Amino acid sequence: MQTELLMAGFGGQGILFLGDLVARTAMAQGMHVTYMPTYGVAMRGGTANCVVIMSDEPIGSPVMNEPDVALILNQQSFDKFQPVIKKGGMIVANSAMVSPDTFTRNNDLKLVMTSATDISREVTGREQSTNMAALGAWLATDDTLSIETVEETLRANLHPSKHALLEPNIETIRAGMAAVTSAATTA
Amino acid sequence: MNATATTAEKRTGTPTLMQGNIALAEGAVQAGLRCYFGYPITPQNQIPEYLSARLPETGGVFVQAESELASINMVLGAAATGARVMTSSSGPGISLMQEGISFLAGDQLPCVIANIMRSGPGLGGIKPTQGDYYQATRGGGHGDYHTLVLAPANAQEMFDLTYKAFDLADTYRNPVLILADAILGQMKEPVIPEPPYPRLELDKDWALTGANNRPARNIRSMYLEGDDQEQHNYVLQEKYDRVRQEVPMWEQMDTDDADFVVVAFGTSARIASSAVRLARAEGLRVGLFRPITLFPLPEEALREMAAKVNGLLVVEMNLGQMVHDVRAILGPDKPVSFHGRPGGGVPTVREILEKIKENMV
Amino acid sequence: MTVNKTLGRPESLCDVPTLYCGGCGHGVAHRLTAEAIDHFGLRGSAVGIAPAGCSVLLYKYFDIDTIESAHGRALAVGTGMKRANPDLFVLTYQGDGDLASIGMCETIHTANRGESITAVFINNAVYGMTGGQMAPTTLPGQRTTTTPAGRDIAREGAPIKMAEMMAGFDGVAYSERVALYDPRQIRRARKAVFKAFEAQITNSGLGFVEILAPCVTNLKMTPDKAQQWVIDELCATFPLGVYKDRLPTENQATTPAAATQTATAECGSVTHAD
Repeated sequence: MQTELLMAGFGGQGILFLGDLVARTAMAQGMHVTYMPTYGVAMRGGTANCVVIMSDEPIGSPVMNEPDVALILNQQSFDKFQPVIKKGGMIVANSAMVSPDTFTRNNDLKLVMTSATDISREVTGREQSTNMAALGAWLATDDTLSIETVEETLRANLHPSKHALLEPNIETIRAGMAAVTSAATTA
Repeated sequence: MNATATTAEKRTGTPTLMQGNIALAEGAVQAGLRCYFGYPITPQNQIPEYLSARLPETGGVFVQAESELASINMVLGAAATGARVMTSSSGPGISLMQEGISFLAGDQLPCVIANIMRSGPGLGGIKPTQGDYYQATRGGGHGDYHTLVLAPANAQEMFDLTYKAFDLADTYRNPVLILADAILGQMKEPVIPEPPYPRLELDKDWALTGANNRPARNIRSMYLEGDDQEQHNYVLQEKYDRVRQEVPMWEQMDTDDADFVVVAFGTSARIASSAVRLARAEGLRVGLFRPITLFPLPEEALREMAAKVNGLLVVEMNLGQMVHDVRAILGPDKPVSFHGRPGGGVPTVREILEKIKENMV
Repeated sequence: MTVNKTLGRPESLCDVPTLYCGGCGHGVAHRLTAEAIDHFGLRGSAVGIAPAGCSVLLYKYFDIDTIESAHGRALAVGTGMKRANPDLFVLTYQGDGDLASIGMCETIHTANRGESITAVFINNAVYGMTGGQMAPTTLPGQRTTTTPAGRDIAREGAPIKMAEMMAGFDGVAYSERVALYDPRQIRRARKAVFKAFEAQITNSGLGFVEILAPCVTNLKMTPDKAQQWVIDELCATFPLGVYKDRLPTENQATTPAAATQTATAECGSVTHAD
């Protein structure tokens, strides 16, 4: 079983941090993993994206092929990557910046809209944890990674200078999860 | 899988998620790197950045040189003292170093040079490529010489092969090149950053340490008298022949019962391995042969493997370089087809699968 | 039997005839360098770096560890050596094409980093080994095999004054220009070489000495005419003198007396010498 996860947004939304966290969590769960970031000039403007491939077998190509899942935080990335997601796959999109009207693959993709930016603002008072809220939305819809390992990994790897953000981040992930779950129940 | 491959799965220890460039740098540190000299160029900047903080911790030396020309000559000077020394660069930087690499080879000085390839020619771009295969395997500079060339295909190999490169450099008194690309340099994978075996400690009885209580030593590549220069070239050639015998490394995947085999190195081999798996899932008997050493190419192993298959496909991130070596090794009777993407283009798994099917019949 | 020191051969100089042309300055410059190696007891720790050029055969003449370098790269090679093993005494011996043209970038940056290296620079205003082509230090109007009508400043630029330039770098501890045309100048040159050694020994920064010397073959002059040319022409463009001396004063007692002349005074003294 192999999962190819694409994460995309604009620079500053913590996309690469998110990818790193996902990769470390998968590794902690004993999976094979590769993490491929955008690099160089692409870092300095426009979209940032990265791909994490998680598998119970050694991974062949580390390059983005057909992502099974995409966590997308802005419209530009949504437009760019919507066409490349694997049939039967899923997009988790940030409703604060992505319009569901632009979703064109109703036939073969699942779309989960999450108000990630709003959740981040509500929980932490800032927008910087939008990436964590989106991660929570994915965790709620997929059992590849466990929230417990995500938490442990975050605790173990967050730079000491940012430890004040640890609990708020974990809380945001859980809020992101809860929002999807309650949406599913009310649907 | 072949026994000569050094994949992460075979190592015991605690893995940590590491970027390829960092794994390469840490592999060098674990190998006893004493001096690093380099000049910034994307996509290899994590190597000097990491070592600028890491080497002082180990009592090592980090110098940001004024150019790659200076870097490689600083490498030469440090290597002449017997220290384990390296540099890293990409594209134009590696081109600038060629004069120095020729001197290092002529002087028979050991060092490690990492080339995290960027697309060319000229300034090109920072996208991944394998366009420097010819430059790396032919020597690259003037004169009749070779550098050993190692081509990692995962982050663990970025560590392991760099570690090994220092032993090979010392053993053969020759520059060793690590040939990787931006994908291998930038991606992160689990790495066990521990020495796979104790490093080689050789008595460097040629090193310039000051002629204290011994006759003076001289290191040079110019021999003016009689046929000394010719003889010097034969000495080098004899060494390359030994290298061809002793150093080849490769990996084979699903080749035992294969009718058709893909030959690729580095990132191309990683992508090709996914295509081979898809082909197998469709019931096609396809395998993968991955040279880990590009000089020397594993000629005998390649011939032996190829004898049992109907055809081969060479996949490269260039418009056809290693393929010509493969054809030369296998001769005109063995069908060898080619698929390549140049200038930063990366072949896709689907593309390779299609090429396999196209050429299998 | 005792050996007369003033007539003896320095221990670090091999007992072989040099292949240099009669009247060339390398022989004397080699001897002064060897004397410094002996004086400071450096035979066991010195490494000489000889780039492409006439002095590439340094290993034939010096009984110390030596290495050849690519044209222009001696100071980069020296940087690598000194950083890898700070106990070594690193000596480069470079010509004008090497140090001031193809190797200018390495020269400037080694000076700027203040590497503890001693650079002996032979300025003969011409490319020697390759056959008399224009050097960065070729004099205005001087005919060479690539300036058959003479160097034209408007076309080829003016001669580069290395001793002055090197003095401008904070990393350079000592910079002096000397000549070898008479015993007095040779004694001065000896002191300068010693000072350039001292810069490294005291870890003060780069020690630089520029030695004006004639290339008799490419000047197409007899040795005596060539010496006169150094006095009349070369010294006029390249004033002799100390351009930088920030060596620690307490060490000066261990070496021959320091040159005290200013560049201007020294320049003035040259035209009236002997």
